[in-house]
Amino acid sequence: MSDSFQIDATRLLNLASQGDERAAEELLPILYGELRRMAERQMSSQRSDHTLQPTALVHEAWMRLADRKDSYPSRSHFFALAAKAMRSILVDHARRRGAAKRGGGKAERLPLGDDVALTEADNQAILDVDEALSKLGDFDPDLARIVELRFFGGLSNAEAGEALGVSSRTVERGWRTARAWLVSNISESDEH
Amino acid sequence: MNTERWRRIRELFEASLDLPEDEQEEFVGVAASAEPEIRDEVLRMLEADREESSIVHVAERAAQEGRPSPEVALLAQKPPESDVQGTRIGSYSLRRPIASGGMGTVYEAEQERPQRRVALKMLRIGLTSPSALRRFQYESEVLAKLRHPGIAQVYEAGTHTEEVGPQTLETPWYAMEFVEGARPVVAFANDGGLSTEERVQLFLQVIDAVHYGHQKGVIHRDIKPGNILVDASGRVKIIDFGIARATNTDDVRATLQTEAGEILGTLQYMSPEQLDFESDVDTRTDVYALGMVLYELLCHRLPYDIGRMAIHEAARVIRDEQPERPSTILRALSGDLEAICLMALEKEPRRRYASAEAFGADLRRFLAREPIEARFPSVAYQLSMFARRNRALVVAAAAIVLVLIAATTVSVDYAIEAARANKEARDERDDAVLARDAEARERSRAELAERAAEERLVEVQEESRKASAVSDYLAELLSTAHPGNVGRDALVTDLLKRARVEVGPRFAEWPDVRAELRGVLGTTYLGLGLVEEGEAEVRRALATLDETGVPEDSDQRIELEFNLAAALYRRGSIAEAETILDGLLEKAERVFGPDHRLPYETRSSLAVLRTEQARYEEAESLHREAIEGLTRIQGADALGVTDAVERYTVLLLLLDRLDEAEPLMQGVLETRRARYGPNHVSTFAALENVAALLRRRGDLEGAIQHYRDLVKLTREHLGEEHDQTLTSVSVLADTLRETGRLTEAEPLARLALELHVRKFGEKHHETPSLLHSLAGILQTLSKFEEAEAVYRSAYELSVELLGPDTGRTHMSGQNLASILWLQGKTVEAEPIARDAVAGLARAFGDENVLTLRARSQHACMLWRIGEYQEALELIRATIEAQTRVRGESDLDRLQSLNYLAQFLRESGEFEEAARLLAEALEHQSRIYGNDHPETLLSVLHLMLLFEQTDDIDEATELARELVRGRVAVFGERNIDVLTAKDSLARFLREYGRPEEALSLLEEITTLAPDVLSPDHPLVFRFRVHLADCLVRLARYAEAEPHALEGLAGIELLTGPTNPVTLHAAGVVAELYRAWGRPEDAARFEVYPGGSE
Repeated sequence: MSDSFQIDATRLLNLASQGDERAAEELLPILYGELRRMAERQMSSQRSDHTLQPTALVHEAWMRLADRKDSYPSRSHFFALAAKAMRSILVDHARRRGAAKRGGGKAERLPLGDDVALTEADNQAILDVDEALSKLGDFDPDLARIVELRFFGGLSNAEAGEALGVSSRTVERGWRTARAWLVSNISESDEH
Repeated sequence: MNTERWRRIRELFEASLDLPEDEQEEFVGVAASAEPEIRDEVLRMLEADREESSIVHVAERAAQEGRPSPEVALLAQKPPESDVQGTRIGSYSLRRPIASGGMGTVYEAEQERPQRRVALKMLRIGLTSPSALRRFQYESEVLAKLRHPGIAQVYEAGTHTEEVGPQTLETPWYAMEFVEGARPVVAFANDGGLSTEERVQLFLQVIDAVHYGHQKGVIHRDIKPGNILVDASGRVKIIDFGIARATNTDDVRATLQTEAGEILGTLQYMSPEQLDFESDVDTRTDVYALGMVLYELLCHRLPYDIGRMAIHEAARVIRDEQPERPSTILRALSGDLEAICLMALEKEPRRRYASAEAFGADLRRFLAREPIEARFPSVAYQLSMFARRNRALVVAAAAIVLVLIAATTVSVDYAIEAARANKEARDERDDAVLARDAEARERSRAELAERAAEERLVEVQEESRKASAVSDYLAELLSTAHPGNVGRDALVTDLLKRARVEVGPRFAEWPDVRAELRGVLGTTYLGLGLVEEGEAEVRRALATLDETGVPEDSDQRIELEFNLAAALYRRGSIAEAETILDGLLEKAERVFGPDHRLPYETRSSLAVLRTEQARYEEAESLHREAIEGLTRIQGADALGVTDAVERYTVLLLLLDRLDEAEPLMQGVLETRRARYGPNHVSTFAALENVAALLRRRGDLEGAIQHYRDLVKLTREHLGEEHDQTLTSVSVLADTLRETGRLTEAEPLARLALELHVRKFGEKHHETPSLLHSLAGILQTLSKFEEAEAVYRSAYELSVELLGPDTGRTHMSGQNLASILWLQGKTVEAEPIARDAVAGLARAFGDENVLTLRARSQHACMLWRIGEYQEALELIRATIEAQTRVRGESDLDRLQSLNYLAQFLRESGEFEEAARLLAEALEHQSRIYGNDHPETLLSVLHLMLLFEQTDDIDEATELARELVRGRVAVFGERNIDVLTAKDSLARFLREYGRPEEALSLLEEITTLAPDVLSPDHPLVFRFRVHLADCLVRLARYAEAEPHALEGLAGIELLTGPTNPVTLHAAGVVAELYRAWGRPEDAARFEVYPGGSE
C-alpha cells in the first residue's frame, strides 16, 4: 500500500476497461482533477508550448495514472475517458468564465505569442462546439465520439481509431465530415 | 435532424470530397437536385470544410505545429470572481466573498428574520445522487445540534439548485455563526507574539471544543488552522465541524477534484489512515490533525514539508516518515511538550492519545508541571512497526528482497534513533554541567538536573542497547534468507522457526522484548494459518507478560488474548475461545467504555462462537449489538461495520433466512467494492458469500458460475497459492460434486489439496477440511477405498492438530464412520459414529444440522448391526427434529426419509415406505434434478420396494431410469452404473426377457474386473447372475464356469454361511438340476446350510 492514489486510479481504470459504467463515472473526476492540475501547472511554469495541447495532457495523464506494473487497462479505453474528461473540463471552465464575464468580472488576457491570442470569442467557441457536438451526437453518435477524441482529447487519427475500434482512415473521413458540419452549424447559429 | 436525412447528407458530402474542389458544387447540385434542403446543407458543409479560422481548425493546426491550443490555454487562466452582491441563497442575501478554499467559498451574508449577519459557505462539490443528498440532510441536522462556545454554530443548511447549461446542480450550503474579526489560529498566535504557554492555553480551547464535538458523536475530519478561527476577543471558534463527512468530501478522491495547490493544503493535515482507503476514521484522526496544529503553533512550521511534492509522494511521507522532532527546530521544546506533540502524531491511531480529552489532559499536566503520560516511541513500538510492515509482506508472500528492505529500514531507524537519543542525553548532561559551573546559586537545582539527566542517559543507553540488539538480530535472521539460498515458500516458515528457537536465549535479559517478539511471531503464524505454532507463541508471549507484571488491561495483552481466542476458535476449541472472549468483553467494556470499537468487535467474534454452538438466538442479538455499536461509532459504511455484517449474514445463511441475508450480503459486497476495489481479497470473500447464498438457495448453476468467476479472479489477482484462491477452488469442487459433475470436481479438489500441502505442509489445521472435500468427491464417485484412506488421514490429522474432543475432529470422525459403513464395514463404523454423534452434540448442540445428519447415519448403522428398535426410534426422532429445524424440503431430511423407508421396507411395511419415498423423490427432483445421485438413490429405494412387493413392471421402469441417470452422471465405467444394470438385468430375467438381461450381464461381467478389481465381491456376484441367466436360456455349459468360479469367489470373500454365498450355491444347484445332473445338484443344495 505504498501508493493508494495511483492504486485507486488503476483500480478504476481496470474496472472501466471491463466496461463498468459506474467505474467510468468514478474515474472521470479523477482524470478531471489530474488533467486540470497538469494544465495549470504547465501554464504557470511556462514550459514548452507543446504541453498546452490536449494530446500532451492526455498522454501525460496516461503515464501518470496508468504506468503500473500490474494489469493495464486498455490504453484506448483510457483515452476515450480522458477525452470525455477534457471536454467537461474545457466546457466547464469556459462556462465559468462566461458567467463571470456576464456578472461584470474582468477576464485577464494571457500573452501566448502572436499566433494565439486568447479572446472571449475562443471562450464562446468552445461552448458552441460543445453544444453543436451534443446535437451531432443525437443523430450520429459515432461522429460525435470522433470529435470528442480528436478535438477535446487531442488524439491522432490512429489513436482515435484504436479507441473506437475502427481504421484511422475511417476516423479521418469522419472527422472531416463532422468538422464541416460543426463549423457550418456554429456559424449558422451565429448569424441568427 | 432525422438519421435518414443525415445519412444522405453525409453520403453526398463524403462523395464530393473525392472530387476536385471545382467540381464539388456541381456534383452536389446535380445529385441532390430534388432535395434542395439537403443540397444547401451539404454546400454549407463544403464551405465550412475550406474554412480555416474556426477554433476546431486553429486547434488542429496548433497541434500539428506544436503550438499551444487555444482551448487548453484558456484553461490555464483562472476565472475571475463574479459579483455576488445581492444574490439570494435560501433566506440569505450574499454580500461579499470572505474566503475561498478547496471545498468552497465563504460569503458574508444577511438573514432577514432573525436579522443577523451570517457566514454562508457554498460548497464547491455539487451533490447529485439522492443518497448523497439524504446523507447531507441527516448530517446537517446533527451539526445544527452542536452548541459550544468554541464551535461556530451552524444555523441552517440547504442546497442551492443551479442550472449550469443542460445540467442541474445541487450545491450544498451552510449558514453559520459569523465570527467577528476572525483570524486563523496560527496567524493569531504569531501576530500577537504569544509565548509557548499562551499558545498551549489557546490550543486547549481548541481541544475542548473538539472534545465536545466528539462527545456528540461528530468527528471534525478536516481540522487545520484555516478551520480554527480566533475572534477579536481571543475566543476560539472552530468551523466546518463534520462538514467533510456530511458532504462526503473527506476522502482522498474528493481532494483530487479540488484545485491544484489546495490539494496539498488539505493533504498536509490528513492523518495516515485518511490516506488509506482501507482504514476507518475515528476521533483519533482528529487527534492527529490537532497534533499537526499544535506542532505548527509551537514550531512555526509543519513536521513534513510536502509543499512541492507529487501527491503520491506526499502521501508516502505522511504514512511512513517520522515527523521532525520539535526540539531540532526549537531547542526549548525538548522534553514533555515534544513528547506530547509526537504522541498525537503517531502513525498508528492506537498509539496516539485515545481522545482529544486525553490529549488536553496531558497538556494541562505539562502546564501544571506534573508528569505527563506521553512517552517516546519505545523498542516495543519500533518492533510493532516492523511487525506491521513485515506481517503484511509475509502474508502477501512478497519477495524476500522486500522483507530485507523492511529489515534494513528498521535497523537504520534504530541506529539513528539510538544515536540521536544518546546525543540528546549527553547534551542534557553537558548542559547541566555547564549550568553548575556558571551559576553557583543554582547549584542544587543543577545537581538535580544533572542527576535526572544521568538517569535518563542510563535509560536511553539501555533502550539503545536493546534497539541495536533487536535490529542486529533481525538483520542477521533475515540475511540468512538470501533468495538464492531458500525457496520462496520455505523462507517465511523457516525464518519463523529459527526465530522461535532463538528469541528466548537471545533476549533473556529483556522480557519485554521477548514478549513483543513472541507476539509478532504468533500473529505471523496465525496469519499464515499455522494455528498450532501461532497459539504456542501467543501463549508464551502472554506468559512473559505475566512474569513482567504487565497490567491485565494493557493494549498489548488485549491484542494477544484476541489472537489466542482466534487460534482456539480455528482449532475448534470453542469452549476455551469462549472463556477468553467473555473475559475480553468484560475487560474491553471496563477499560474502553461504550464508545470504543473493541467491545463491539468482541461481541461480533463472540457471536461467531455462539453460532458454532448452535446458540443462534444469543448469536443474533450479539451480532445486532455489535453492528449497532460499530455503526454508531464508525458510521454505517465503515469497513469495521461491514465485517460485522458479514459475520451476521453467515448466521442468517445457516438459519436459511436467505431473504434477510441477501440484501446485507449485497451491501457488504458493494461497500467492499467501493472501498477496496473489485479485486481485493475482502471483496472476493464477499463474492464468495453471495455464491454461497445461491448455493443455499439451491441455485447450484448460479453458484457454480460465481465460483468459477471467483477462481479466475483470485488466480489472476491473488495468485494460485493464496488462501482465498485455494478456498475458491475447493468450494467450486464441492459445488460441482453436488451437481454430480464429479469428473470436473475431482481434479479441482486434488489441486486445492496439493497446493495447500505445498504451501503449508501436511500438518495444517485447514488440511483436514480439504481432505474431506476430496474424499467426499471420491465417495460419490464410489472410489470407496481411496475415500476411506483420505478420510482416515483427515481424522488422524484432526485428532493431532485440533485435539480429540473438538467439533471439527468429530465431524471428521463422522465422515470416517460413514465411509466405513458405505463399504459394509458397519461393525467398525458404528462405535466411531456413536462417539462422533455425542461429540458433535457437545460441540454444536443437540439440534445442529451436523449433529442431526450424523444421528441419521448412526441410525442406519444400528439397523445394519441388528439394533432395529433403537435404529427406528433414532431415525424417527431425527426426522422430526430436521423437519422442525430445517423445514420439509431440507436435503438432510429427505435423506433421513430414505433411510426410514429402507428400514420399513426391510420390515415389510411397504405402504408407509412407498409414501415416504415418493415424498423424498418429489422434493429431490425439484431441487436437484432427475439425474442427481441423491435423487437416484431414492429411485433405487423405490425400485427395491417395488421388487419386494412383486411389482416387477414398476421396478423395471425405475431400474431403467436409474441406469440412464447414472450413466449420464458417471459414465459407463462406474460401480453404481454396474450395480444399476445388474438390478435391471435381474428384473428382465424375472420378467421373461432373459436375452436382454444376458447382454447387460455380459457387458458388466466384462467391465467389472477392470472398473472395480478382479477380486471385488461384485465381480463374482455378477458372474453368478450371468450364470443364472444362461441357465434360464438352457446354455448350461457356458453357465457352469461362471457359476462355479462365482460361488468360489463369493465364499472366499464373504464366508460360507453368508446369504449371498447361499444364493450363489442355489444358482449352481439349479444349473445342475436343469442340466440333468441331480447328484451334482445335490452337493450344492445342502451347501452348507443344507446340512443343518
